[in-house]
Amino acid sequence: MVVSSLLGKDIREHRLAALLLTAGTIAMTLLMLAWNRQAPYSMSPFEIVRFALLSFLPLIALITGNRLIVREYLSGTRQFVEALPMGRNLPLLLKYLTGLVYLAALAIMMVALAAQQAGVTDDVTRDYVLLIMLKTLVMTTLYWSVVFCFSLCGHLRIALYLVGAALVALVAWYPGIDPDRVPPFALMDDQLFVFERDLIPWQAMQGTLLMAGLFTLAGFLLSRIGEGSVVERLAKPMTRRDYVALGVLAASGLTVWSTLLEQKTRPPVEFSSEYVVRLQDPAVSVLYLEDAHQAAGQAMAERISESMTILQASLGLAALPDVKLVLDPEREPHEIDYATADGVFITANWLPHDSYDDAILDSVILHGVLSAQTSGRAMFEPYHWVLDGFTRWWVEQGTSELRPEHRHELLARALWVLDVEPAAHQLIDRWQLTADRFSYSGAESLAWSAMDFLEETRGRETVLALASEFLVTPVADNLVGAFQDRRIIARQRVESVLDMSLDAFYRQWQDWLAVQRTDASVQQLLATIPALQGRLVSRSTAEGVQELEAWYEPRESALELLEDIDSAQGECILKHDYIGPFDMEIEVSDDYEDVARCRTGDAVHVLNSLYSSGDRVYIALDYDGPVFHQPLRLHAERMSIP
Amino acid sequence: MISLIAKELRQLRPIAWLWLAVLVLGYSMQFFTERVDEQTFGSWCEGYCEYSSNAGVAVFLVLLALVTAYSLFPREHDEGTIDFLRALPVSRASVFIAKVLAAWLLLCVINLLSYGLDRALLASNPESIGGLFYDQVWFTLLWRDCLFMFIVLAHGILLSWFRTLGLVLYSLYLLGLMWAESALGSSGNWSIFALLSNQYEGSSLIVNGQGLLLHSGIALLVLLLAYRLWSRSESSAGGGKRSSRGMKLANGFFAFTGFLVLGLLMIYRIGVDTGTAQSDDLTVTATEHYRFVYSARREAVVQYIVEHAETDLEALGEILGVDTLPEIRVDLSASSEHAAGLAKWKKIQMDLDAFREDVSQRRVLSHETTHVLQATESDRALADNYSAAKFFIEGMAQYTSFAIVPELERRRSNWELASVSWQRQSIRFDDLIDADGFARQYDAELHYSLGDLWTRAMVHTCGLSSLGDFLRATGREDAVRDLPAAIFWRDTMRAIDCDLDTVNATWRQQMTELHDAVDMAKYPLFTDVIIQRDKQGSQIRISAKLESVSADADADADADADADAGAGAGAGAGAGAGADGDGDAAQVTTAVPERFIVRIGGISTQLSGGVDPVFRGQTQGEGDELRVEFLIPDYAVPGTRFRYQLGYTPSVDARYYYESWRRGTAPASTSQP
Repeated sequence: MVVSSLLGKDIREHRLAALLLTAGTIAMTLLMLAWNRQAPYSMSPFEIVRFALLSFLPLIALITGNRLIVREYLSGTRQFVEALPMGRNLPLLLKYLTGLVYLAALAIMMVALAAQQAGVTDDVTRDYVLLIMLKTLVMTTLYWSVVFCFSLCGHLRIALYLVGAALVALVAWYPGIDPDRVPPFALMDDQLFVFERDLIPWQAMQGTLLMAGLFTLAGFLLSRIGEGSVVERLAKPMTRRDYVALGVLAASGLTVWSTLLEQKTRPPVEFSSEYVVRLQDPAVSVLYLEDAHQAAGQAMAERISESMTILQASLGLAALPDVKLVLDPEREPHEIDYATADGVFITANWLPHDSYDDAILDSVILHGVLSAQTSGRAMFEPYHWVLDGFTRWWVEQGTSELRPEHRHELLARALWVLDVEPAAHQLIDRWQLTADRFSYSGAESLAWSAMDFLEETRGRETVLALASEFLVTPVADNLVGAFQDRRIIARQRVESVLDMSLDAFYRQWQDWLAVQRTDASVQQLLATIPALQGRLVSRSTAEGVQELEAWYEPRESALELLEDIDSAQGECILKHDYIGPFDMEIEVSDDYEDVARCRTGDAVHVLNSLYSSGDRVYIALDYDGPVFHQPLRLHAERMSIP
Repeated sequence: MISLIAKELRQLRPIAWLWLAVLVLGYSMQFFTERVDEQTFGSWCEGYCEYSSNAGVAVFLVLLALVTAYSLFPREHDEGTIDFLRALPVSRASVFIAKVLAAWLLLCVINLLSYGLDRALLASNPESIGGLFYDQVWFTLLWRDCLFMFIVLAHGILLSWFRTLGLVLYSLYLLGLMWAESALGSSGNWSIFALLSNQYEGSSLIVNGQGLLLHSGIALLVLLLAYRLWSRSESSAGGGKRSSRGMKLANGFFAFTGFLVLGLLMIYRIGVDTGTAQSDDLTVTATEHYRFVYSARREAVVQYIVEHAETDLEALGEILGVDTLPEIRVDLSASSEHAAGLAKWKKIQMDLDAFREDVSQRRVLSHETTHVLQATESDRALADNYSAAKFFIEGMAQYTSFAIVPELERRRSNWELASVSWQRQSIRFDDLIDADGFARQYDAELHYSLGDLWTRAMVHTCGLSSLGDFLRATGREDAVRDLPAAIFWRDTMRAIDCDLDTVNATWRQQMTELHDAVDMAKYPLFTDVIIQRDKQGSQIRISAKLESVSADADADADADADADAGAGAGAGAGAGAGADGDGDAAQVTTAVPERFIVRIGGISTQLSGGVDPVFRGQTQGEGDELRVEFLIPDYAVPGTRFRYQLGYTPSVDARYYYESWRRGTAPASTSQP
């Protein structure tokens, strides 16, 4: 009698909502089945059951809990029910069972509808449908138990749901946790839930039911603790103190999360091949692929190891990252892949290298080493010129005598860069623009010349002091790190190390460079550079074909460059690539290029239909001659196709 | 009115604190993990304001607006406080407007705060390129988000009248959108997510003006309806209207009838036909490890497949070193425009119309069975690294299936096509191990043949047993989860004692050899592309000239060095050097391909992942004037800018060869030449 009265009350109160919710669920299930039929990669109608369990069944459980339990507690009508002579557990038990039966009915209905759509191709046997239904009911029980328990927590339930969602996210996405070992996740496995029909996941189901049981028990205990005072307290709106507690909880969660992420450590990967030279302290490994390349690999490993050892002592570096080099004999000499995800990892072809090419490769390696030393901060524009200039300087003259032919080539390139763009002398403020316009090789030669100037005029110690200032101290990957690093601006830091104003340094360095120009070897190199500048235009033909044209014009220069363009022995190369709507640093690859003989007058390069109106493109025009080891960038432009 | 708005804002304070807390948490995460002065505008935009957009971000904005909307009226009515407001000497319309304006204001302020903070943080980057700020984009995003919030807020206010059932209605709307996207390819401007799609002209953001206008109008109508409903609703504390006995009876009758109708509907739907859908002419046959379902009309081919199934499975098991072969269910009655076969765990689905030859069907079964063995041997771990391993998952399946069911001509054709793409589009191993990035840049189908060749290089380097060993190594107990792609490969290859770089070197060498043997006459280039929208605006016309390419130019960019100025025609952005019209390199006579195709890039604002639509092309003219024309229905290109990929079949039975993706602009109005 009591039971039927209580059930009757709930049915009267919620029948319309239950009806609408049922209709909504049916409509949603049918829509999902229609979607499943159309979806290109669907393989079974039962996939919608899993989708529903992950998406809207928790929502329906939430709605049911809200109507059956939360409203009764928050509006105070619960007290009337508790005043009835039937004990405290029975009404709650009836609520629990009512909700569970209702949700189970919806879940069974979904499975039944999916089974109806399934055909003989799905081999819909009684056992298979029962297995899917069993898994579905177990998950439904867990959802309802969680909602039941949290619904009895009054306004704190929102916080609990948030914490619950965070826990689910943690298990699902935290790299250190395997969700397959956590019961509900294992039960809902993407492949097994629908497609495993022979093995019954007893362990996952038992674990899930155990969790459901614990939540249910917690709900019943909660309703009894403190003779209702807890429930009464929980039924009240959240106070400021609750909000603070919630904030602290969230902050703690965040800290734990960050800490866990920090601890995601793993030994660095190693080469497993037998064709590897391994040196320790500092750790340098070179994969040389074939016996024939062993000597070159050994020499490379020893050279890098020695250079790094002296560098470590000179700059007082506590530790150095692992360096791994892979030989790829099919690459061009300057085609270097560079990654820092796991130490410094370089792929290159050093077999055809001369000493200048070796210096380029060694600079790249040390660039990675010192960049890792500062957690990447050395790449920040105000300091990047120090990183580029110092690494090249160290490779060229840090441990041995500077070769004259290297010096001449680097000086010639630096002079040419400054001749084309006098503002490039602003090393701190325009480094990215200089590298963008003249490629990294152009920018590097400029920075190297600044270091060479400092060594010659101020001594080797000044160069090392400059490197110590910017390339030794790790900068934390957070706001505090950035703030501490920028307490003193880069300009002042440079001035402090050099003991002179930045303007004076720029002036003296340029004057020194002008003197270097008189060197006959440098002049000889400059005389091989064609006095050219590049021009670009994008246009649409009368037929509507989009074309991008590039041509060359003579350029006046005080450097006595090569004016007889026809006698230039190199090639003119157009390199191009899409860039997004927003500018970022880019090193255009050699993959997309058009090579032609250099000349002036008419169009030398025409890109037909590659880009269309509204695109943004990076275009570079290089001169690649037989004298310089790397191309000279005659022109570079980021353009929007009109 | 201002007092009313101020009162509403006071009432919305808890919600404001909540959103502020979310904001603070978000920024705290950023401050704890990033040096903010290194952030660029591009990295700030990532995942939200680059080309197209991510529906996931839009879902967050929808939640923000819906939660705010739900906090406006329901509680006020449930707790009866609305009666106090109605007792004030202001109209109900004023109260409604004040509530809507206050909620919108709050959302706009939160938005402004977030964008303002971002602007300040971005200003701290002093770099000459990385520190550039794009005012137009920032401001457009700000006002567009505010308008979007208003639209969803209006939806939420109406839905909140239905209380929690309103959320079910909204879920139905979202499911409807997903269905439309799957069935029709696009839900067009009906989707609110289309409002957040991004197109750029240079660095200027273009908004979906038509969609915003349409949805703003709808939002105003929705608000009007919501006003009618809310203004006529009595508060629960005020008692509302007491139901009469007749109303109670009607209510009860309605509920009873409703459940009855639903019950009958369910019985009708589920009924006795359960498990027999589309099974009129389906037949079942079984072997020791397979259960096949097929149409009786395909008896002959199925018999051939069944005849070889067990021996092929045993051979596969031997290659992969499988101890226990699983039981597999195969549906041979499927029909798909997108895949010849699909496999998930121990189920396989095949479309027997995908290939003409029986032997090809048999090979597809071997391919899909390999996927089943990959899943069981790796205990599903390979699928956990899907993006990094997709090319290998498909490549290994190709390798083993061709090894067991040799189709020499088909495989040779696939390899040839792969080697041309590899050379022209400069595809590297690092491209292969990023499945999404690969699909954005190249033809995703290349994963199969390039993967086949890479697997061949792996077998060549480390032996046949390395394939099965690799599978088991991915699922080993101590395998670290969620590794970056490059590290996953190094880590797993190290576990089986096979050197990745050596495999890659072998792969490159074999690819070069293959490419050198290709007859380039079969692989012309598309040039002189013209894109127009027809006068009725119902379709877009892409016309491209078909141009032969010299083998020398394709193989080596240096060949052009001796040539005079000419058209730097390339196969998309991935093309190598251009072929000159009057160059020294010998031209080859183009073999006109059999079929032409254009693929239109999907829109990432879609809720459900779909398949990029493709359209056939027709040749026009001949000789040097040979052009190919593609007609694309307007619905496939929602805006003016789109991505597309041109392709053709180099020989009768070959797969489609696609050039790299290009971007196109279809002008709003046509100027026919």
